[in-house]
Amino acid sequence: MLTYTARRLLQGILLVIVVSILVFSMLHLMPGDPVELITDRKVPPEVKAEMKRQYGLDLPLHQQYLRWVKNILRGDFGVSIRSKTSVAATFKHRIPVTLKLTGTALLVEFLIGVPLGLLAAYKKDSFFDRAVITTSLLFAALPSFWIAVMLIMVFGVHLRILPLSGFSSAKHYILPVLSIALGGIAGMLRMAKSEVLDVLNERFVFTAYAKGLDKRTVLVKHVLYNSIILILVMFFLSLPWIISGAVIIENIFVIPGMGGLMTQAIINQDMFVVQGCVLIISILTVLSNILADLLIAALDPRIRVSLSEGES
Amino acid sequence: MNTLLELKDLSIDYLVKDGKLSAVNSLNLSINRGEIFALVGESGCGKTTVAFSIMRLLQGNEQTSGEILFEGEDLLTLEDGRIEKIRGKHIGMIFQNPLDSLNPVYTSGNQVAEAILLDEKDKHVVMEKLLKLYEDVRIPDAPERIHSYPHELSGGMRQRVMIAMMLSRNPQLLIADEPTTALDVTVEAQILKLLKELRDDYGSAILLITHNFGIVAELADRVGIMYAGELVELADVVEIFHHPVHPYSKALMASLPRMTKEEGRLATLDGTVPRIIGEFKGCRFSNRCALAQKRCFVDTPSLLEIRPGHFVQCHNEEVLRGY
Amino acid sequence: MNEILYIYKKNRYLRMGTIMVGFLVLVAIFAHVIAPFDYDEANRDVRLEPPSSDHWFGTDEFGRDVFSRVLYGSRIALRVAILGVSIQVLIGVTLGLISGYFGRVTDQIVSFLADLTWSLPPIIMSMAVISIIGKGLDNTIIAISVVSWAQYARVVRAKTSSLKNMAFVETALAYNESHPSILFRYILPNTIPSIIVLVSLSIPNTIMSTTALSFLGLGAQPPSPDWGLALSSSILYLLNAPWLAVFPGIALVYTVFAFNLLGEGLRDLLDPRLRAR
Repeated sequence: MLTYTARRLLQGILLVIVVSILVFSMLHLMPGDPVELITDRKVPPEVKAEMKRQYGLDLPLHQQYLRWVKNILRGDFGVSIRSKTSVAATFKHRIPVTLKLTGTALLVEFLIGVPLGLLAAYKKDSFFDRAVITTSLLFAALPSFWIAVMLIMVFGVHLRILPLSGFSSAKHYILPVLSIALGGIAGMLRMAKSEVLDVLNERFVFTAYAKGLDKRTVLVKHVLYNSIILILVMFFLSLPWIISGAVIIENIFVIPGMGGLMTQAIINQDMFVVQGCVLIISILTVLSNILADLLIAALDPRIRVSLSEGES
Repeated sequence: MNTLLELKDLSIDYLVKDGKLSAVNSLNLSINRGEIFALVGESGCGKTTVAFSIMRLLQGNEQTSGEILFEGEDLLTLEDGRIEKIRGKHIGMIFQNPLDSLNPVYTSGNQVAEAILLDEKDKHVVMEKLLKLYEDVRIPDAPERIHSYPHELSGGMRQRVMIAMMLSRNPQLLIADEPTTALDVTVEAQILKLLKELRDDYGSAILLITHNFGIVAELADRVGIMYAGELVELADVVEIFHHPVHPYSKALMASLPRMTKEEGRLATLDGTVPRIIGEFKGCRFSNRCALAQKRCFVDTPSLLEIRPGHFVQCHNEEVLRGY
Repeated sequence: MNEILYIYKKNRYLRMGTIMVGFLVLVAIFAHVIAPFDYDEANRDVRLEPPSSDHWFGTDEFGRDVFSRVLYGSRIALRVAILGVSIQVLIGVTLGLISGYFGRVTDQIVSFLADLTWSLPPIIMSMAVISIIGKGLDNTIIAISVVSWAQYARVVRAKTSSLKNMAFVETALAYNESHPSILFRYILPNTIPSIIVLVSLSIPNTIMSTTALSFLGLGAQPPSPDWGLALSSSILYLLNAPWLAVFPGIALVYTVFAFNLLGEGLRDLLDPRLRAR
């Protein structure tokens, strides 16, 4: 288990390094000289040359990269071209907001989607099952931003009971979280249901009954326990998707998180901000994938063994 | 009463899109205490369905009629609480593929102990019993093996674990559904030996379901041959091998490869097992039977006792007499 | 031919899906005939009018007819679907074939690239690409496609590597048939059912993603009748003119749903055969 963890972490670090190279090169892949981004057209060439030196843009690329990495590791993400404020300082305010939003959305999706899925599997082919599937299919086809707009229309504008922007109170959470979660619940539900159904068809469930165990024990100790493994993994794997959703939703509800920051930065071509956002989000994604892999290795003894023997 | 299990007019139909698929038709047989009864037939003849229906483990998309009397009680009409008490304690079952039959996330010891714990609460006693069971089924290094996960054990050992699990509660009847089909030949021999010893030591009857006549010859006391959901012949093992009467039984015997000097091709039977949906009158073997008469396609034959203990289902007088 | 008709009749999803998508395609083709107005025809006198007999879906803040704009928007959706998926298929299938067939180094490289594109959620990744290549509808199509080809590569690679070991390939090689020829004549045709299934899934996803990007202002630019763009500008007028949000939204949902149905039907059709193989 330990060797697997080490190996997986190493893979993750490697991936992050490659991603960082890509993120770094974003600045240089754009057409034209990077200096043009930072300076106005009206700025005289000597000042431009000075700025070039200041930002290290005159150094060879690999040195620029190392300089960039060193800064990042020190916590310096550069300065926003637009607002001239420290990117890192902006992150400090914005990241917790996004985390709160995504965390809540994830919990809501999980706590509603999974139990419904389990129930649907238990009551397979019943009215409940079909109703739940149809509704979730419907919501899955609705883009999150449309759900958001519709929710705003009904609850915010016409009924006037929920706030539409800002993020200061619990009430502010409701619409944004719902917009993200409603679509995702469908996915969780389908996954939980199909997992349970797969397990129900496994032979060892028959063995459990054949031993003389009663229905409840079989369902909990054997069916549920085995299904949980993949369901928990799904929990971690859905994080990147929720982050995606959050990016869009933050823009609609004017929530001061990473998403709004990133979108604006792209429109304004504020490269350092964009780079920082992309880097952070990709690290989060790699982390959640690693966590998912480690979780499954920890819970399923088969994976532990085959991996420690060098197979994968 | 020597009869342990009695199947009376057991019929099971699966409800499929096109109608009712007949899996078992009017099955009548009984198993005595301590005997090894082999139920033989090709894949799809219904023998596994019979096994599952005794344990009430069928999925729910089937219709069952008739009676399954165990110690006088009809298992089909018992409510869930009662059948749960019977499963494991009075009737056990081991399955074909031992890897699938064990839960991969619990250790083998844990799973066998789960069965023992249903009867015994004292942890020490449970542990003692567990170790003894492992020894009885000849699993070496029992104290260590208890902590192994199923995928860490070989096929033969997993099957022993299953046997240990099912015998732990001392059932009067053990149903073994193709217990050695997924194992290789040397391991198979060991498992068969084990089963026989266990019958002798524990006194359980065994309903052995198989398509392999070699195993039948090794273990069985009595044999029932099934075809397309029906019992076509029933006799003790020596009779069946030396004097098969039903055309299907004869064909089966003839197709067994024998270690003789005679050369030539293996005898085969043309045609395939019929898939019967809805009403069917007549002998189910008629379309493949070389001796079929007009009557065979119209009248359903019944099981006749041609000699004491030897039953055959056929219309043909010559067949019945031509012993 | 008869088999196709029989399957068509039995498979509800396929039937509904084809009809719905067919309808959409017709609307897109004949938009200029059906639409009473041009999509950017602004009329200051009729701004923010509710649905009426003149303007079935009402008018927007510039006095443009929402009905016509929604109709023209279908062209954009289809363009996105066709262009986007074509790029993904082209890149993904080619790379998949090559990596599955030639193995070892090529395989490592392609797999690495594929994993890389998965390292970020697609929307975020395409946003990153857009920050480099700039905004615009076609740019979003390129961005999304660059990020989504990996699923095709993965599936095709798996199929290819299992097929290349089969007897008919060895025979072809023995007859000195060239690799590209083998790839095209034998291997590619066998991957087509899987590709079709993936295409049925990518079309709705691609449309949703590009629309989301347009919604954020990174994709289609005004005065384009893109539905995402229309939705984002409708938020300001939700109180006074809710029809601005409702109709483009319904059009989008209809489109995604139609392709989903079609996809479901195609999968029912092709999957059992896939599994049987």
